[in-house]
Amino acid sequence: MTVWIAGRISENMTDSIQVTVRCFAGLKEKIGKPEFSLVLPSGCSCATFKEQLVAFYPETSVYSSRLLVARNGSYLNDADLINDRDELACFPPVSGG
Amino acid sequence: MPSKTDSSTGNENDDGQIQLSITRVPIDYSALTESVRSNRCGAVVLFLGTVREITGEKKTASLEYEAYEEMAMTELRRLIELARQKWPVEKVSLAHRVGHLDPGDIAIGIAISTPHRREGFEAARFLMDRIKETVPIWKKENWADGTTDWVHPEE
Repeated sequence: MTVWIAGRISENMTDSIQVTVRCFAGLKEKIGKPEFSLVLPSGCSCATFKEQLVAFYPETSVYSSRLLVARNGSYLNDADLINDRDELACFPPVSGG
Repeated sequence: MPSKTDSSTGNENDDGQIQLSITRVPIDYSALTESVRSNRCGAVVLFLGTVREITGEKKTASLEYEAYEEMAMTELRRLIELARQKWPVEKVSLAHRVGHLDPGDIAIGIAISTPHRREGFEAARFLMDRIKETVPIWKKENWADGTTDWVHPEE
């Protein structure tokens, strides 16, 4: 059995996928960089991606479930599946205008 | 294509009916308004969002706007398409500032032309409301007391 700990995998790397994440605004400030990679369980949903991100960067927990995720310029729903090598964007609720 | 400054992302669609830009330079709202005027339309609606200095008890020194520009442009085009499905919108010109803004500065300008006034007001309101919900742009308050806060709408 694979044990997932905060975006890292402890064994059985074949069941893992890796994504690149661009982050913005307050999330970028909390994480301290505009882009990073994250290892996830294969077949993981967008909701799980957000949980893993917050687990790996606990300082982002202030946003937790309110984080928005996009792929190729379109928003993902919590149930949408994440694919290996996806380039994702993740950010807090928007406040333009 | 419209003229571009090197600090802005500009875009015009194929039929010249939509002009979008995300820009670091002040928004020319006269040019924005002029660009949507049309003999087919009896109404031009212009909305400007400006930097408010006083919010409740707190005083704003300045705002910093950040955008995920590629997606913001995609999302703006999607919202304008939605508006055009609901109302007979002839032309839309929209500009959003990013970077440092002082109180009174224009953060966003939207100009819309429609055959009649009612659909112009409705379409402008629809666009502005949706922009605040889904277009990936954020603002940070630099308060007069020296503290800062990213602004996020309440759930």
